[in-house]
Amino acid sequence: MGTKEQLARVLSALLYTEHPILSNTVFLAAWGGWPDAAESATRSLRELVRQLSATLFVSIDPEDFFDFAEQRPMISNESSGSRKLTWPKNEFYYWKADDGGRDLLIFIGVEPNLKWRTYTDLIHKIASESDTRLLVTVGALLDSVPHTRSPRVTGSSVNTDLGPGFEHIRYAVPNYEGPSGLTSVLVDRLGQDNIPSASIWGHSPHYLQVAQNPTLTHAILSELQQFIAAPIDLSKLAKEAEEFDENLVRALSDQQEIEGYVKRLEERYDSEEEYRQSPEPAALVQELEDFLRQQRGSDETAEDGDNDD
Amino acid sequence: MLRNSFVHIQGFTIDDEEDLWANGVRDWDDALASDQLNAEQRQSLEISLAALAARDAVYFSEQYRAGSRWRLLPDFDDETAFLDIETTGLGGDSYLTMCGILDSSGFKAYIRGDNLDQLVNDLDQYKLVVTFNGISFDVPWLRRELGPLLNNAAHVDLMHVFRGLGLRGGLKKIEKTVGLDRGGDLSMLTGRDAVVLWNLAQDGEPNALETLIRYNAEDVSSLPRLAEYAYGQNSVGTPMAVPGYFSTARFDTSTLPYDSSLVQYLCR
Repeated sequence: MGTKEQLARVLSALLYTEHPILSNTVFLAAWGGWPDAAESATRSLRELVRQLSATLFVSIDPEDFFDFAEQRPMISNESSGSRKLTWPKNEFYYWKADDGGRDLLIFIGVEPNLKWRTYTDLIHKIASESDTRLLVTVGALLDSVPHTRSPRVTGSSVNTDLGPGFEHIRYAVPNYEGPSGLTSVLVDRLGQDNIPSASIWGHSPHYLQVAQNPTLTHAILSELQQFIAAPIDLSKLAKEAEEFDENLVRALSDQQEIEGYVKRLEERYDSEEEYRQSPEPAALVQELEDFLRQQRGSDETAEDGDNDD
Repeated sequence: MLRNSFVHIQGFTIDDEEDLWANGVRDWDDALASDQLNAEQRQSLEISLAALAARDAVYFSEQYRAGSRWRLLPDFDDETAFLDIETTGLGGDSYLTMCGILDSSGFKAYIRGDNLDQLVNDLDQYKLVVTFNGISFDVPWLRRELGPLLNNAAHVDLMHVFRGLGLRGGLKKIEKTVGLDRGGDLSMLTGRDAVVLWNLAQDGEPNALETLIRYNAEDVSSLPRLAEYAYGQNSVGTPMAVPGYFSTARFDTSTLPYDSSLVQYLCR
């Protein structure tokens, strides 16, 4: 097969239903499966799609990207009595700002098993066509955090400047090197076009065997709100989160083993938060050295003064 | 700081060092300006000054016993690697699976079959390596498998330093004793679980490698905190306590996803 045919075959994996013209776009992306603990990441974006009535306009044909023995299609019964087969979905939605402000591109997918480079090339194509100015990837992981504290949402970015309108947002620069995930591949691909990116992770308590964690979804959406021009109503989710928390307290009230464990996690969480908010060690040492220098300086000034006398 | 330290000078005991401090001789400059050193000791101090200027950590490493090498920590902070390895066991046919390194720029995972071959080269940049039980285990293992390495680096083995403080036991026991217990499900894993995680990863279990990396990262990230604690305890009330030691190596392990259900499976 020639290069042209190869390219045509690759691009034919993009199944368009519409070609919207977007501008100044913020691109939000989340993948189901393991980077989506308690479905908190994808649910956050689904909630956005629902509230904004965002429009589905293109999807990626899963055929070339999935090992269906690993990522099986799902069979279900329809109300009509028929059987429906659902393949792994990778779908793009858009929302256009009325006032000519920032448009939104929303991607909800499943991490593919195969051909990550081709897969990210396809996402890159849609991002480019949509005038993407910023990529924000959203994930959720099971972590050793207590359910009794504010849900932890961490952000990181390889860019110190996330672009016009986002100058106030400062995330830690990731300082991990080693085997990496799909989000890093996509961030790198868009980075080649100088599109800045940020990555947001919600942390769900690992000991909660829950299908969904509305408290964490609420926290992720609150964090995402700063990237979105449209107003997002979090009140329904806040109520759901409140009920979820109340139910948790009830369910865990007679489990003393969990209670002790949660207490230990709380201590760890508190000390970690303290650690996060403390100044960098280098800054601390600098501050102390400046203080000592200042002290020395004032002592010397005092001695000089004595000599002058 | 090393410049406040005198026990490496021939004929000096810890009591002599304390006497010097008590007499207002707080650092090497004070000592050279004083009349409290004989010619031989003065010469020894001048060699120390030159070694420090030349960033010769090995020289100082040779002057101190393993339990006293905590004194090197602040001076070589920017050139320090905190290191921990994982292997497939302890037997003769066991092999290295990964090595985690934390320095002032962050955490890096070296994985067998991936980027482990970069490790020897990368280790060249460090003047100091900090481990827990690395004198007996990690460094000899690395040398056995990868050849000569860390020849120009001093080694602070925190296990020996904590023994000097009267604390014995493994990493997690020491963490608990000094109040740096991590909590969390990963802290329930052991080296044996790390072997299982590696084998699962080789068998294609999704996320087993990520979980192994996170397990290793948690152990490595604990080392700077333990080193700070050990330095603080050893130097309290001495001129070495000012300005103290705060490692610039820090890494937020919570940024590394892992598979909690795998951990639960291992802890079942």
